Amino acid sequence: MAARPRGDLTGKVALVTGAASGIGAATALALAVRGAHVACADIKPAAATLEWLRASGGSGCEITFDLADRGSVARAVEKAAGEARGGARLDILVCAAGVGFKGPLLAADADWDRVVGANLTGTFATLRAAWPHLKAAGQGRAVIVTSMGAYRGGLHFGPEYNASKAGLIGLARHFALHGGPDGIGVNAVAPGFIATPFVAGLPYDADAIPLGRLGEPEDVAEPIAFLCSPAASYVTGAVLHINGGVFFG
Amino acid sequence: MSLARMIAVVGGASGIGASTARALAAAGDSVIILDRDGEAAAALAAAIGARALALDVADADSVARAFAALEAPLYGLVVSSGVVDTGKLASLDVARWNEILAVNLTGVFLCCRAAAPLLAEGGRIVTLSSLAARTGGVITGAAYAASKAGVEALTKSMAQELAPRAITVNCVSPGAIDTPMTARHPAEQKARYDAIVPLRRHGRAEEVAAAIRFLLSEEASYLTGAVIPVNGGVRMD
Repeated sequence: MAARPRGDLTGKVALVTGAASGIGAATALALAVRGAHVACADIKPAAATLEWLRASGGSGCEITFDLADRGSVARAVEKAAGEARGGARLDILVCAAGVGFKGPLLAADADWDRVVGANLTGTFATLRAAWPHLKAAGQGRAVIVTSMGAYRGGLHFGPEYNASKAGLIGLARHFALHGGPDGIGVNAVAPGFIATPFVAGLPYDADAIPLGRLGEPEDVAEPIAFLCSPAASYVTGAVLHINGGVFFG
Repeated sequence: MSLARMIAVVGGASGIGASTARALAAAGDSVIILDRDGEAAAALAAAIGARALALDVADADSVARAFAALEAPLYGLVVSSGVVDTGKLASLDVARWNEILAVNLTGVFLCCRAAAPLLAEGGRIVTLSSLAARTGGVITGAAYAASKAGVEALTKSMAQELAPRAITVNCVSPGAIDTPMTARHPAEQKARYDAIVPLRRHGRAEEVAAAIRFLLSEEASYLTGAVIPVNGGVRMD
């Protein structure tokens, strides 16, 4: 195993939503080991993530917030930006928070509203709150976690989940288009089957995955870290498909 | 400390290939530069501590000979060779069409076919496409666009075929990049183009090389058959 690239995010302040577990937690760690100070936001306690990144030599803080509550989202963003020394600043935003569950094709109104309200509206609210900070940062970077289901429909989660994730792609592209002149890069990742608590217990067929295995949270976190790094300075409006070869976009 | 990774960069004597070769060598990889311009390949190789081999990707025998000179295991192959052509349908004769396809598409196939048996389990192939594969090309013409779209399909086909050996095959699709090639474009044309790019500028060869380096890394092991656009947001799909 090659040494992890370290140091290219030194001095940056990052906010990762959904950081208590899965892809969000692995992303918080990936950014922290590169030197970023990472605000780990989640509706659940993110203490374990924080402990993990501190044990790896990183720094960060924990923020409790509710993606479905715009006021809570705005406060979380300000709290993260307030972690910067010498005035509020946010260089990196990773939107990994989301909800989803196995539901019927003909979703009930309440389920539709809850999932779209959190995943799509909540992510918009996060980006909106972070935008002035990303603009001020000069080379701000945002990465939105969508899903392979946005492209293919989903076997496991309901229509509200996949529609919300498809909406995030339009959101990322719109902000990429308008953030470009300010040097802000906005990209998305579309993970396939990743072994996280989010999909625990759901059936999958490893034979259907060309690389022959389920993805690990790190398999998504590392490409996200690449998109957050100076190495991706000319990449914006892109969707990276991270699925072991199941789907090519 | 692990052993240096052996990485072959085809078309590595100039432009994006040279940037990639430089970045890899600087990071401690063992680089082999393969290029039609053997002298330029040797000169760059001497400067960065790499090996150089001359090959013509349009010539199957030449490709076979060059790769026969490499020892397994090879960790990675980057195929960055290619020719640009602006010929539109009406002005493109079949000889020129065949020449462009031979270099840009068949050449990639030949190099990958030759390298595949040498690649280690968990190895990497990175191909280079172009914005023109999706847009049809603005300045570039029909053969160029078709050849680059072919490279993307070839990449996905090879990704499936090599997945059982955990070899990933991915593609980087650059937009307009400042290279000796685009330096010849009129300044006014460049300015018009930059105005429609969200990031408002051409890219740098180093920025394309950085995406290639990421795809070659251990961290990219669950991406295969993917295309990373490095185009400043001018095309989002």
